[in-house]
Amino acid sequence: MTGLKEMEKMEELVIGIDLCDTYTKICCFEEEKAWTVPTVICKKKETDQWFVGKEAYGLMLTGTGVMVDKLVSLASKGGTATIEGVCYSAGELLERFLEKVLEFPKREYGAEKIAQLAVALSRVDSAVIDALLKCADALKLPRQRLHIISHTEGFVYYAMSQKKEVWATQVGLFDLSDEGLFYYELKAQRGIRGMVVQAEGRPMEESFNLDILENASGARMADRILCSCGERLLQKKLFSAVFLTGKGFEKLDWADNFRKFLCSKRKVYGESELFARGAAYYAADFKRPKTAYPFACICEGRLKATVAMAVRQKEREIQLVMASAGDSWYDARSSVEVIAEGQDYVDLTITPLDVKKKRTVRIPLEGFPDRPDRTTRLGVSVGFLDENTMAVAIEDKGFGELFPATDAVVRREVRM
Amino acid sequence: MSLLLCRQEAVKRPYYVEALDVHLYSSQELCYVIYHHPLLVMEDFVDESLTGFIRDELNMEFLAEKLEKWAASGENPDEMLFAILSECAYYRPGEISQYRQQVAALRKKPAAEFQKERADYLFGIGQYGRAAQLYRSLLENPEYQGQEDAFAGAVWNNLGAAYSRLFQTAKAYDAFEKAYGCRKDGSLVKKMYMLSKLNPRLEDRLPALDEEKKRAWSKEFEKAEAEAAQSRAVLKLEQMFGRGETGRNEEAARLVKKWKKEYRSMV
Repeated sequence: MTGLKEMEKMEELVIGIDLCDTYTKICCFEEEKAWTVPTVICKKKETDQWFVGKEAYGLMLTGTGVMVDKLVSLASKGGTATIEGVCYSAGELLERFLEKVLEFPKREYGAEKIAQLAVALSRVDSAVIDALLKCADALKLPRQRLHIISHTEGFVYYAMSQKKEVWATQVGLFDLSDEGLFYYELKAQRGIRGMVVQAEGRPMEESFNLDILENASGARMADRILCSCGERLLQKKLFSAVFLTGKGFEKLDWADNFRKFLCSKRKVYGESELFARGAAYYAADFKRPKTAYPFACICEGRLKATVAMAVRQKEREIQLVMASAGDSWYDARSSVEVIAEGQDYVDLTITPLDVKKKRTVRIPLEGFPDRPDRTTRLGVSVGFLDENTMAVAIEDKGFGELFPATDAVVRREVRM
Repeated sequence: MSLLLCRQEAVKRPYYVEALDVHLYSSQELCYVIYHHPLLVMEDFVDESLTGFIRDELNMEFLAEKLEKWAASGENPDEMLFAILSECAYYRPGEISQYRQQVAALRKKPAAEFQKERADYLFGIGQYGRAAQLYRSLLENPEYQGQEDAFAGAVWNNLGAAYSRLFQTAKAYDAFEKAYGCRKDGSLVKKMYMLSKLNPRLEDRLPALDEEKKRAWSKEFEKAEAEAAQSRAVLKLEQMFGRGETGRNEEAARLVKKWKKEYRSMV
C-alpha cells in the first residue's frame, strides 16, 4: 500500500463513501480528514441552488428551502420527490447530493479528478446500484471507477488493511448509529486454494434510538442492552480485535459496563468512519497492478458459491468457472460460447464453500431447432440479480451460414 | 455428451467456399465442411487463401505454418486436411481416423471414377455448373474421348441432367443423345422427348418414336406442367401479381434477386 499516497495525492482522488439514509461519511485513502454529512438535500426556494447537510437543515428551518431526506431508501424504491412543482427522481437527487459531498475532498486536496470511488451501503440492492451508476454517468465518472460494496465488505477491507495481529483470528464489529445497532463478524482462514475471508453482519433486534442516551436511565438501559448483546455474541469465541463504529460510540462514557466487558482479554478499537475508510481501501486496490488483498471475500454482496460448467477443450474435460465464490454479485457476469455435442441441455455446477452441498442445475434447450450434432453454437451468459439469484441466458448462435442462428433463447433464474 | 468450448475467433473477413456458396466464420465451420464434404476438399482446397484465413482470421499461426510447409514438401496433400481437423479439435480422434479411412478409400478409386464421383457430389448439392464442368473435362480426357462404354454413357447422362437443371436444353439434348449412343437406354429417349417439349426447336432432332409412347410421355409432361402450375411458388407468384404496383414491384425485385443468386450459385 505504500507509495500510492504520494503518487495519487493532489492529482487524482481515491475516495471512500459510507452512504446511509441518515448520514454520509466521506474520506480519502490514507488521509485522516473525514466528513460526515446528513443524507439530505435541500433546494433553495425560487432558485436553482442546492444544499446538503447542515446548510440544508438551516434553509429548511428558516422556511427558505425544500428538503428531501432518506435519499437511499428513495432510490431503493425508485421514488420521486416534487419540489416547487417539479418532479425529481431519487437518482437525480442522489446525483446532486453526491456532487455536493464530493466537493469536500476536491476542495480540501485541490484535486478535481477522481481516480477511484467506492461507496459502501448498508444494504446493497440493484435499484440503488443502478441509481449510483447513473450518478457516475451524470458526474462524468467512468463506471469502471465506481465500486459499490456492502458495509460488511467495507469492514472486511478495513480490518484486512490493519496489521495481521488484528485479524489473525476473529474480528467483531459493533455499529451503533441512527440507522440502528448492527453486529459484524469476520474470520480469515487459510486453505489449500489460498485465503478465504468470511464475514457477515446483521441488525440487532435489541436496537435502540440514540435519543435515549441523552438521559441517565436511558443510557443505563442502553449499556445493559449492549452488555447482553456482547455476552451473547462474543463469549466462548476468540477475537483478535473488536471494533466500534458509528455515532453511538463516539463517546463511551454512557456504556461503562459494556466497555469493561469488551476490554477484558480483547483488543478494542474505535473508528468512527470505518465503512468509509474500508471503502477507500477497497477503491485504492484498483490502482495497483496486483491486489494487496489476495483472498476470496465471502460476505454480503459477494457470491457464496462458485458456478462452473463442464466443457471439453482439446480432448480434456475442464470445469469452466463462470462466477467465483467471493466475486461481487453485481460485477460477476460472464459469457461463453460452446457447442452442444450429443446433448440438448446445459449443466451448471454450483459449489458452495462446503463442497458437500455441491449441486448441478440442468437447463434444457427448449425451443431450439433440431440440427445435426455439433452444429448449434450456444451463447451461455451468467449474471446475478442479487447474491442469491443467478440469471442464466442461453442463446442459439447457429453455426455460421451453414446453420443460421435463430432467435431461440432460454432464460432461467436459479437460486444459489 | 459434452459441451465443446469454442475458441475466441473474431473473424472479420470470412472464408468463402465457392462450391457450397457459404462463408466460414470459425474453425469449427471449417472442420465441418472438410469432414462432411470430403469430395469437395480433396482437390486443391488447402491453398494460400485458406492458410491466410487460418493465420489471420482464426489466429492459428502454428497451423498455417505447418500447412505451408506441408504444401511446399509436395507430399500427400490429404494430410493437410487431417492436420486441420486434429488441430481444431472439433472432431474426436476416432472420428478423424474414420475420415482418414474414407479419404483413403476415395483415393484408391480409379481417377476417372473419382472425378465422376466428385461431379456427382456437386450435382447432388445443386452445383450444376461446376458438376457439368467436371463431367466435360472427364469426357474431354483423351483416355475417354470417343469411348462408347457404360461409364461414358453414365457421364453423358449426368452431364445432360446438369444442363437440364441449368435450363440449357439444347446442350442437355446433345448430352442425352451421346449417352443414348453409348447405351441404348429408352429412358434417355424419354428425356430427349421431354426436352423437346420445353424447347420445340429440338423436335426435329427426335428419333423416330412409337406414337403410343409419345402420347403417354406427352400426357406425363402435361400432368407435370399442371402440377407445377399449382405449386406453392407459382401460387405465391400469382398472388404477388395481384397486388398493387408498388408492393408488386418491390416483391418482384426481391424475388428476381433471389433467383439470380440461386442461379449464380448453381453455375
